[in-house]
Amino acid sequence: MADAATVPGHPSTSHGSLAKPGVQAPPLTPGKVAIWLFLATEVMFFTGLIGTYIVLRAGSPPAAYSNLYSPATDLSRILPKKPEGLLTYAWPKPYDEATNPLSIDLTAANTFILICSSVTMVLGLSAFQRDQRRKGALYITATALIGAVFLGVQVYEYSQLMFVHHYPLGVSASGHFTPDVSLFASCFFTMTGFHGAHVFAGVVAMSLLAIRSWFGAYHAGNSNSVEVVGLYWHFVDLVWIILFTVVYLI
Amino acid sequence: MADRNLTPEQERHVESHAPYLKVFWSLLVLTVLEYGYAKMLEGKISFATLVAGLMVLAVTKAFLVGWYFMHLKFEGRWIYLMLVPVGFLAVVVVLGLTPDIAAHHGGFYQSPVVLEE
Repeated sequence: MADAATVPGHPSTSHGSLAKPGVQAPPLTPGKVAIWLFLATEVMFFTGLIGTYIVLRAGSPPAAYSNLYSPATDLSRILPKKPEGLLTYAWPKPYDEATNPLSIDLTAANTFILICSSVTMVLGLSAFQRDQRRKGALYITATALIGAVFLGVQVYEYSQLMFVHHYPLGVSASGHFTPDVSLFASCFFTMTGFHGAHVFAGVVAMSLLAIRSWFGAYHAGNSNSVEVVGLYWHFVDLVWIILFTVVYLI
Repeated sequence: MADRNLTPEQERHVESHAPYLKVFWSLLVLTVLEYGYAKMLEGKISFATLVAGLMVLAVTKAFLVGWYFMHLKFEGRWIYLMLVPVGFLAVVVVLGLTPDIAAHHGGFYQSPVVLEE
């Protein structure tokens, strides 16, 4: 059995500064420090987005959404009293077709797809570290393809929301779920859109890695680029795990 | 499981696959649990309980990705010199935004619409 404290891919190195006592830490490369610094800024970026979402949602008036009127209609001005059958909410509820058009089933499947891509990514890195170049190239190519599938599903979801489906009045006055129809819509498109842009950047980087890997660029002695892109990719996966819960399920 | 003709170092690499696949299955199970929890219990339990349960599952998944896939488990202490301040600042950002929630209800904006029954 491998020592649990031994680093995958870096079994004999311990020159990372501030290593834990008795633990063989992986080498501290400039690229790794740089990507972690970049990821730190990304943490702040997405914290700002999610924090703002929480503020906007918590501050949404209690009757901002209803099953009979379009979002943000000032019901107190047009209705003398609450009519029968009118259901009001501060924010669209998941699975409520009258106010929430998001397909949780489709997105849950897409979440699974992104998790799969993280696994192929880490297996690809592991393969390169063991000098299995062909296997590593296959895993990295698979990661790029699975990432592209995630993006494809997101584009499909956007097209259904914005152009194809016709939604009830509680979702949108125009019948289509576009960023301008409600605060919920603009929050949704802002957060998932920025995440999608990050996935797109990851797919581009992964495609470049895949091309280079088929030409034998990465092996046991040179897998730093794969590790750096992998860290970015896992971070994007991690952010999606949080976004899926916050935006879709709650 | 060890391949033949591998050095001890390479053997450790091979074994490093095992946790990854276990983590993958754990993530899959947690995603299914999360999906089922939200679908089955929506409207049947309090909103706070729903949110708490979902956040526990989501944070567990995020932890698994960070700890194993991003190799936090194996990194030296230097990584925490970066992550701890960022985590602190992230909390400060959210807390700093919180008063804006009160501002919505407090008079900067129109009073929330409340219809009489």
